[in-house]
Amino acid sequence: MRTIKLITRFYGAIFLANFLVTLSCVYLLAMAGKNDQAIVAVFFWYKIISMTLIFYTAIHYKKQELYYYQNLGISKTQLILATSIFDIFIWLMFILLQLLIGIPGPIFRYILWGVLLIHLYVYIKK
Amino acid sequence: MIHTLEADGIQLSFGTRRILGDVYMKCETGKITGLLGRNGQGKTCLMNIILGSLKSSISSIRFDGEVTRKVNTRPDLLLYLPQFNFIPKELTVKQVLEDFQLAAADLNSRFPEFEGRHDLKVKELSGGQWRTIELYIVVKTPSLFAMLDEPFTHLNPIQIENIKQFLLEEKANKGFLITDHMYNHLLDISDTVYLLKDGRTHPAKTLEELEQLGYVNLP
Repeated sequence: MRTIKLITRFYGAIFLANFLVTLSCVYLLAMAGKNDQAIVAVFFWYKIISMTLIFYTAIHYKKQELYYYQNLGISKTQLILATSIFDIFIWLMFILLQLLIGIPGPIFRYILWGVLLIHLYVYIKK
Repeated sequence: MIHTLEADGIQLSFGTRRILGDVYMKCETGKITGLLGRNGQGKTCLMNIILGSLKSSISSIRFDGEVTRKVNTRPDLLLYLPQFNFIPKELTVKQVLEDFQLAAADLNSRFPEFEGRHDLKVKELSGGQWRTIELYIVVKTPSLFAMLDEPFTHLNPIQIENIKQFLLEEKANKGFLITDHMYNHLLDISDTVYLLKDGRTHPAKTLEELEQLGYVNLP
């Protein structure tokens, strides 16, 4: 339980950036219209590449904090693996939801802007 | 029962530059082992090799005689205090103590300056208090050994004396490997001292021995 709490805390620091990428995928999927299923593979690689960049940046800027987790028995590999799998799962859920329900693109545009503003607010507050 | 940590045959090179060549050192529970050395002699590299976060060409890290790899995933064996601040700055003192399952009352009784400051974020503490809480969690969390890299950095003289006393009390519960440039303080509390020079460890205990090895210039 403590391990889950610690991994969640680490993920919390990079959640917004990753979630923004996920939402942008869903928005682009919503705008794709009839070709939406064919383009999912492209979005998958877009997600993987952007997630890799976000994790690389996070590890670079938080490398000193990794010793904190290490002293608690959680290695860098465990942190990256656990958060990556969880993030991909969230992405998959949103993509499937969009493919099943088909929420119109303009609605997602507002959600995307909302998340972007929250992200900016959190960044400025820090 | 006395436990041992041995680092044996450690070699490390960066390109053509040899940093460590056939290093041996031994730590025991119930004792403080000091590691001295000038800048760039490889003290932190040696600690990282022991921890398993830095690969060396040849090395053997043994706990109670058994070769152990990836020690950095075994906090029950070894905890590490790096020379820089490592607690996430957004965490409060209370959260840190909860993470390491340490009692707040014990911290207050040992370091009364933390009384009423448990809800503060770590970044809101002074540099000395930040270092003290980092030291406290590494020293108090149960494990066989703890490696402390420059534990006296950011501390004022009163805090240093307090920490020295704390380490002397806590050595009954684990073994310590400590490196710091403040050699006088390290000599005061260490049972064994190694000087890292020219890629090798040299046992030394007195200032005179350190002078003979060229580490200090005595008046």
